[in-house]
Amino acid sequence: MKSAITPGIASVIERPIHRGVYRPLAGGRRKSISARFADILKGRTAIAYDPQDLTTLFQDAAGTLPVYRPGTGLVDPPVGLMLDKGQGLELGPELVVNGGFDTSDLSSFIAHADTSMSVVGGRLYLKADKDKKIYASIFFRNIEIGKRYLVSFDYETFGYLYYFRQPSSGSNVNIVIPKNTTGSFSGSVSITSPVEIYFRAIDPPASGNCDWFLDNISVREIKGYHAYQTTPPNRPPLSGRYNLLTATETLSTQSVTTVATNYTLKFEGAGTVTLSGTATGTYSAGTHTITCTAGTLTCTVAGGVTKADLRVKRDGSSLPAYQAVVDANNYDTAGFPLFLKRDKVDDVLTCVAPAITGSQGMGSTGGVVLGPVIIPAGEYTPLSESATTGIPEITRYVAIDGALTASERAVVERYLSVPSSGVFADEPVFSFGLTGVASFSFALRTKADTAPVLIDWGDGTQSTHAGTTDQTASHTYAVSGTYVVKVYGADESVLTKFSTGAGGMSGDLVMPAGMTYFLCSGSNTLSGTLSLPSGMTYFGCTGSTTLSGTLSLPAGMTYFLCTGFNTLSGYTPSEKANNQQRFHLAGLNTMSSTDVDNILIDYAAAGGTWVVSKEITIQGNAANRTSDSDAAYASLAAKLTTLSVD
Amino acid sequence: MNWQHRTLIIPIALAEPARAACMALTGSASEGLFTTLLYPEGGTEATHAISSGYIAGEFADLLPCGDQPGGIEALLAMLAGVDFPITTDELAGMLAMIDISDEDADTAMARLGLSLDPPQAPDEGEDANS
Repeated sequence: MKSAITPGIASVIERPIHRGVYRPLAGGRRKSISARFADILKGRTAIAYDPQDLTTLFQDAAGTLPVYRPGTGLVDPPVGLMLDKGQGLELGPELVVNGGFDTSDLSSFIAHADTSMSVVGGRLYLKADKDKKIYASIFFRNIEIGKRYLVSFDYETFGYLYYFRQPSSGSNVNIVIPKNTTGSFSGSVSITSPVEIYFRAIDPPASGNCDWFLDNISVREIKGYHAYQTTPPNRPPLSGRYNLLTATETLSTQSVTTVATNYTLKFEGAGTVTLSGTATGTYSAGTHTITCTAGTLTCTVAGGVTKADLRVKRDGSSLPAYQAVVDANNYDTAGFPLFLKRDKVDDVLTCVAPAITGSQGMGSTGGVVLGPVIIPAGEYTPLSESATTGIPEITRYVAIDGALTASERAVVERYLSVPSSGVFADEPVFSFGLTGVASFSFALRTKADTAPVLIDWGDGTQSTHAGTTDQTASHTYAVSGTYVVKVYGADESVLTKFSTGAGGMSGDLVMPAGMTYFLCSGSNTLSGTLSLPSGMTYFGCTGSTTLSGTLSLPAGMTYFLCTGFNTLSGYTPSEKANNQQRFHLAGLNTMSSTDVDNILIDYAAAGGTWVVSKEITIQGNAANRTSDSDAAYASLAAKLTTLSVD
Repeated sequence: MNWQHRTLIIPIALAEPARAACMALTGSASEGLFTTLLYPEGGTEATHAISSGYIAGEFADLLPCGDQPGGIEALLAMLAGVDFPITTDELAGMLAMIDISDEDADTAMARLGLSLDPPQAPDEGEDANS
């Protein structure tokens, strides 16, 4: 598979990530480059494809099978549909007339010859002549090829219900709703060939009628010029693979395919790598520039070679210097922009484009190209003139009608060059200091698999992570010292979990609004006013912390651990969840007797079942409880494994 | 979806009937098969066509590939099911003529001495000046 970088493409993509993304505005505010790019598109005819945004990519042309993140165990997913974000994926007007069936107007639908339709009780009632057909069918035909529609309706079925129908066999998009059910459906489908949206009820009960009810039918276009490919082998895969080698943690002898260009070979360990084939030479640990011809390069390993990376050389690249690769299906993508990997044999995506006379640009793994374009209205292959030409590895694409000013052009170039997924706000959503550390790692989660965070480790390196399961963010500093780590996301809702047992964290603890789980259990010196976000359920902070403020626990919190030299000065009573694990408070806090009583009363009032730790501890400088909490104390004592309150 | 990578290189005379057979099974999803032409070394006429990429595992399993024998009987049954007229011998002959591998396209083309581009014709302008 070819992977040559088109000659002459500037290396704009390789600038440091968010330093290159944001620019101060006159009033001191900053606006993300994505927001500024969106401003440019407003009111213009435009197309914008973003392979970094997994929510816009599907494996099939009809758009029913979302892609998954590459490198996570499956083959790099083919992309059969890529949604255009040029109009913000806004919904168009309602296409169904009288979809609520408030009147008898049924002009939006065409019934099969053996199906009768009528409005009964404010719903659409369909019935088949079951002597002739065992199904009832109606069609909605006010749709166009190349467009995507959001279809929704309420139903009551007496047989299996409905699919979107393509005209020829093998291309049906079946969405079957079980028989004898009542409910609502909402789903999207892209139209790639002459087709009708087709509602069909089949398999009626043996003794029953083939009839069913529909209500609140809605069909709305998801605006945009979406690109698709109906032939599976012609779909470009989505990849994030830069390192050509496999089993890179401890390298063994292997061969890879190279093109005629310069590569960077980097590895650690006491062993050597001897190259033969498209390049020759014997190399020891370090970073080396290798000039290859096209063909097969054999890397013969002698001794221990670890963390090996061989990739196309990109001067000034801000990508992580090492990409861990287990095999073709398992590799690290943190910090590596995703791209459509065209094989330049038959991979091509098509859209039904508007007429555009203006600019067209592409971001690629090699840089950015932006130039004039005239796109005629109609079928268009946006990523390349043909299947066998053009840029092979595309990270973003735009086409914009009309002239761009110099400043607009700069914004577009920077948008195309952003080698990370999604939008990052100008200010970090979470930050902390590290004091005297050589390395640091933590687990994190984000609110969606497609909602990334970018970590600026404070030494000029960054990494990106996304996932609703634990993701490990880890960094080793070249020099042990003091650093400020900043976590960027689209907004404060993105980062939902932070957990580390490592020590050395310092600075004010200010948690983002979306954080639901926070744990730092190492030797830390965090400070500041303790404020727990409303959705937080788990909070643990230990070490030599000096937190202050009034303790106010969110309603859903089930785990609270706070020790150190904190000086919390009070407690705000609140309802508690009924599935508690632990409340452990120690330190220099100045809780009054009333505060302690209220804590016990609140937890006793919650009832429910305690699990895991089953603990309430209030120690340190807190005052003793009074008889006001006797009943609560007794109730809790019967439930808890540990109740340590003076 | 179980995707499997396959590169199929087919004599150009078989491109149309092979595409027709695939379209009988999968409809318009096969319209784009074998539309890229390949040229032999030194030849100016395309002799083969190629399709390369991920195909659904249910179809990949039916095609012979390396040590995998494929499933000609199952394929034949599927084609019969859609009333596509082809005999066992015809199908076996067609499959025997197709180079099917899990190699990337460049590797498969190089192995067969084929390329995407025909040899460059002499530049008429240069000839005139020479």
